[in-house]
Amino acid sequence: MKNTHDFKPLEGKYVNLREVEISDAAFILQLRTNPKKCRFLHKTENNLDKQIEYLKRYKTLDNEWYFIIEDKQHQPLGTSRIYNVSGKQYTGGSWLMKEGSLPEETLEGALLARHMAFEKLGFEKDCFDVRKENKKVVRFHKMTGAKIVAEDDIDYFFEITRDAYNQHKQLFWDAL
Amino acid sequence: MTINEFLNEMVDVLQTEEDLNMDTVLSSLAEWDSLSIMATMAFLEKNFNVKTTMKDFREMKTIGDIASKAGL
Repeated sequence: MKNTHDFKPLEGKYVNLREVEISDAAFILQLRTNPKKCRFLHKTENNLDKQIEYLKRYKTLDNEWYFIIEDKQHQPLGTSRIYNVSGKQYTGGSWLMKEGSLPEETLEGALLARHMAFEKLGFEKDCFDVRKENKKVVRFHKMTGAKIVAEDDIDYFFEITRDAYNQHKQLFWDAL
Repeated sequence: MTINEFLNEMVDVLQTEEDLNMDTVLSSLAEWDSLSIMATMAFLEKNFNVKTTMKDFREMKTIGDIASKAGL
């Protein structure tokens, strides 16, 4: 697995996907403590120093990836993460976009994150969970080829393989 | 698919509790967001074999516009 801290940003038509920097801490904190945005996320303490420390620790790792989705003027719009790596399998999460993000920015950001994982980093399966209440995101993942493999009282547990991603991606890439 | 069936399906697609009609303005729906647009894209492709783009959705203002795109 390549050292991710040197990778070049992925450039899309509307957004770029780049590595997170320590200077993104305030943006991330604002996003993750927005009550509307963080409803279905693990809670983040509203503490900038702790967010900075989190990112500093992240920068020492070589088995996690933290991306910023930015617009073409390099203004941050959202986040996406890869973690829980085990061989060719990972967990994708922390997909958040700020209020006012355009639909094309949201869609392309999600597609670039998957492209990074499956095409650039060589992963073969994303195993992740989504709160059952988060119906729109549940629907989105089903549309893009993910399958529910288990559930409990509050979460659906999804898997999407690289093959399934490739089978479903074109509808959305063509829409951009 | 009849218009009524289409409207019922759109309630589910948009995950809304609103009563939809052909004149419902999309931007008036709290649920009309990026994920709803993607869900509508997939709905149109699966049920009507109609492929849409983000440009199409910028031009659609009402539920009726989506129905027209579907060929209803």
